[in-house]
Amino acid sequence: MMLEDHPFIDVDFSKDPHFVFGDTTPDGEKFLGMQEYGDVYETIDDSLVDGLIEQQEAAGGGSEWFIKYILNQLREGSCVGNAETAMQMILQALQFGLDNVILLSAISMYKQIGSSANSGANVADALDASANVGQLPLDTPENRAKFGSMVMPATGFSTPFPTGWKDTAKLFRTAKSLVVKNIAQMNTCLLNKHPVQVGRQGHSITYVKVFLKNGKRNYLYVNSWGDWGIPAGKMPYGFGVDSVSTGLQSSRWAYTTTQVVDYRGNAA
Amino acid sequence: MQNAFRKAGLGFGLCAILTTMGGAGLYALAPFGAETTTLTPADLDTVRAIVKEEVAKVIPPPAPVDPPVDPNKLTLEITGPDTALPGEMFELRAKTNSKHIRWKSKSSFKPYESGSVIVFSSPVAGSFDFELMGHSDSEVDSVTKTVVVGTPVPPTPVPVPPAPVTGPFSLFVIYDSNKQTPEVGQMAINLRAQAGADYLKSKGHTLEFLDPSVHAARLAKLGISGVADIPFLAVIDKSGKVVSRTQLTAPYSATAFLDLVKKAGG
Repeated sequence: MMLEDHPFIDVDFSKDPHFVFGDTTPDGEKFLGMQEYGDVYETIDDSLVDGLIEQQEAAGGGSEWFIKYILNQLREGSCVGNAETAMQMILQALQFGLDNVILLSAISMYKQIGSSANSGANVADALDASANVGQLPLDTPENRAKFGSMVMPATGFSTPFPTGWKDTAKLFRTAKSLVVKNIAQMNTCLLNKHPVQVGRQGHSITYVKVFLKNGKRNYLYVNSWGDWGIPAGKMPYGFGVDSVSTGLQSSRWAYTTTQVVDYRGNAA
Repeated sequence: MQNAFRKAGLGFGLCAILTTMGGAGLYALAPFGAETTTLTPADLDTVRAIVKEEVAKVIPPPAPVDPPVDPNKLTLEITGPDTALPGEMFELRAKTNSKHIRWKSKSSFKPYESGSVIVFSSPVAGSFDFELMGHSDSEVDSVTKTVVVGTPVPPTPVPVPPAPVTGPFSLFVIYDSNKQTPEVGQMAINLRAQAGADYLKSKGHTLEFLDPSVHAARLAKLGISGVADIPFLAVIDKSGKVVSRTQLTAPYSATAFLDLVKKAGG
């Protein structure tokens, strides 16, 4: 698909009927001491980025291939929970394989960080909750067979947590997350195949790839609006694209996860 | 005086023997023509000593007499070589007073037996025992002789080629996720969702990327320890055995990775 011909570039979320709330303002000083991506990974010099992008595309693409499931938040303001859920499943696919990805319940994350179905949430709180509490598997027959009643639906803020849910949720925690604070760090993340959860215009999405369009950098993200957007990887829909200027806006405060714990309960 | 007696010669000697045998006072029988000498009892003692000495020179002492042989005492002996070469024929003989004998041997090579003689040959080295049994009227006994053929050499183990290691395998890339690069990420995508994934799936292999700083407990359960050679590929077979461990070196690519998998048998 020719990206310039479709309507999913630089979507103005605030004007979209799916508009929901997502705030990226760090929660007070909670994350002031948190490591930045550039503290751990060598930031790729900007002069090398386009060449690496070309190599990536010649090799077949980026982390869009790790997407196994397109989330749908419906009319709830749970975008932050959905974007975090998408990122965690991408990491599962990277570490354990697409066949071993456990579909996760986005509402089990959002309920920890939002105050109501449409309150929206802070992206930084998702980083915190995913590292310290985790989330439950999605309510599917396969997951019920594995986790019994310790599952939750994708949506439904009023759905109560099952009793004792945290014991299962901790199997689906992030193990390593890092803050992204500029476009250079974000480009490095994406070229290293680390997804980035961002928030812009009140909506939170997960960037999966930086690529070139007409010689200019663009950012492919996975949304949580079901059969919305363009195809990518193995999925027939679900993706949107941000231009470099919108990407720059998104990169001012974001975070990435580079490792998740072993959901089979064997994690350290 | 003693010398005078010795000068008397052999004729006198014979007379002296008789004198010695007969006792004193036989000097009247002195040889004809000899000077007559009257012997005192002391002289007779001297003569007796001389005669005894001279007789001892002429008549050898009686040979020691064998102790009487007990006809009922059983004798058993095997004579023959103690060693032989592989393939060499040798014989063992029974030396015995037993009227009946019997040979016994435990070798898988049967000796040729002919009465008191057996003939044996072994094509292989080893130690062979031969037992000879016999009896007298009052007892039964046996003796055993061991013949060493060649130098016993422990059998050379026949090299058995290792059973070919075949999949499907559980593949584990053990790596420091803090050192992930675009190259590593691209390799992972290929192995997860592109041509590399197709190959792994066709062989039934599974693949995981584990960081010891996060998945130490899992690695311990898998029997994968040590991080000195990180990053490396650990290949585990169906029985749970780590069949290979190979360090991964740059440049990282799905092609190079799959070559390692194929070398491991997958």
